Amino acid sequence: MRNAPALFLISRTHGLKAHLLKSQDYLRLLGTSDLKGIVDYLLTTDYSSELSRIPTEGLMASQLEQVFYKKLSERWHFLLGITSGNMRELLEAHNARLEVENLKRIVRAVHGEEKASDAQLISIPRKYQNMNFSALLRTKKMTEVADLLKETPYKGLGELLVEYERYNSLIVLETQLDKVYYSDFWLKTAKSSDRKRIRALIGTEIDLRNLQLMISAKYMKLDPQLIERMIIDLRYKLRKNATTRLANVDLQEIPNVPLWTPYSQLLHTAVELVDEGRLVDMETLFSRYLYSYAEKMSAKCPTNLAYVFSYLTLCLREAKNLTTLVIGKQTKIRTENLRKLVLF
Amino acid sequence: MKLRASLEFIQNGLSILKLKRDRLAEEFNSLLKQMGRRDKAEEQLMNIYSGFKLALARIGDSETHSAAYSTSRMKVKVLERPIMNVAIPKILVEEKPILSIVGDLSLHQAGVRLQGIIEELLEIACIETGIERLAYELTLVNRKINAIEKTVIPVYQDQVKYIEAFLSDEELEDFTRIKQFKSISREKRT
Repeated sequence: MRNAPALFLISRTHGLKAHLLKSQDYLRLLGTSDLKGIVDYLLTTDYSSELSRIPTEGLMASQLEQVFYKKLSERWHFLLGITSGNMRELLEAHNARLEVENLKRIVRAVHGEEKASDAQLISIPRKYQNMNFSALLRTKKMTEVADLLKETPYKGLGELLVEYERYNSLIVLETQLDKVYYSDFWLKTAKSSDRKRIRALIGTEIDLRNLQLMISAKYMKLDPQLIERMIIDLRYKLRKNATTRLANVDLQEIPNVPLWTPYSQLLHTAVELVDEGRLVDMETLFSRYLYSYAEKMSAKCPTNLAYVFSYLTLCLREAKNLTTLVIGKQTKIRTENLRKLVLF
Repeated sequence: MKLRASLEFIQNGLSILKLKRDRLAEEFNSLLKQMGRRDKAEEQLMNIYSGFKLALARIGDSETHSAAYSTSRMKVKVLERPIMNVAIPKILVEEKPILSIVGDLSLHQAGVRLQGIIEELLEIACIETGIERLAYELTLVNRKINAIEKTVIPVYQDQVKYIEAFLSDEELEDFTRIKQFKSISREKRT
């Protein structure tokens, strides 16, 4: 018998999921002629309160992107606010993704000796912030960033500075941030009775991330050792020997490596797309796979906690889709090309 | 004599100027032949830009900005190649930007392709500046040649001619006077 707080959270999520945009909404948005058309349409949705504050004169896609990610953050943290105990810990671990994304942006700015501003970070409500982003934004050296992260789950970053300097690449640090995020989330799922389904969702995401990164790194002809270093060492369907083998073969041979996983067909198509030079399509293929998996999961497990995480994943898809749409409209991408990028 | 020497000097200068004009024209033509690269580069740039637009739409504005932040800056050195005292610029790429992010392949690829085209655009900019400078210098040299050929030399030649005519007249006068003097003195003797 499922406990009452879990049932409350799941039933609340069912209500919230009804607010997400549907395929027909995306089709309508694709049919609009400009940013104003998109804003007008979204004024009848959850985005209305934020969008009504933006003047329509000189509307920019970047402003709207901030609104979409702010809404995403609100949606993710709203669920956090109505839970407690293990479920709260689990949601906190999940929502740390926003924190990781912000940290990556800060680390990139420090690496490029640029100054990032608060506006470039995804807004996280103050009461849910676990680190001092204002101080991190003021840092100029990677050692200062590592010092500020000493008391956080990302303390391991300091130990990797030597390796970072040796490769002069952010891969090492960004992978470490991802590793911390995914391992913490993975670990927290252990306490949940619904861990099997939740892990299926997060495990698929990790596998897809690893495979996509591997294809990208192979295309860029990176050192196999560095490629192995980039892999998140959490296993779902992709075994260690499979990733090692994939890291050591040529890009064209990737589909021939027997993986014994459902990803074989996906890999085959992805490598074909890369061969044809359709890199954006390859990346969209991976995203589409993940989001359709989350969609299927939410349909298959309506009374499972995995439903909540599917919803959170679909919220992210909505933010990404809307961002794609506004940038597409601003940069005047043809509707048929834009449609291929929207994940629905 | 002095005037004739000056004329000779000007004529020598003129031939040097003509040589300069030929050399400049030769360089101008060779640079002009490379002007076709601009159309090709612009076409390539448009292709890259349309690929970049797709990557930007997929990834988002802030993520793209963030990825751009992590990229080291391109370092260039501007050198000058003198041709007949005309400085033709040449841009040397000392450090290529290092694209650190590998997560988004399409963005990375757009970055790599943009990097390549920027180097090409820098070369085209040098060619165009070179053409502009050479054309300006060629106009100046042509103007000088025309002025020397059409004004300075004819004036000098006229002056030399006038002085020569004047001198030969004087010479003839002297000769006649001597002749007369000789005939008078011969008459007196007889």
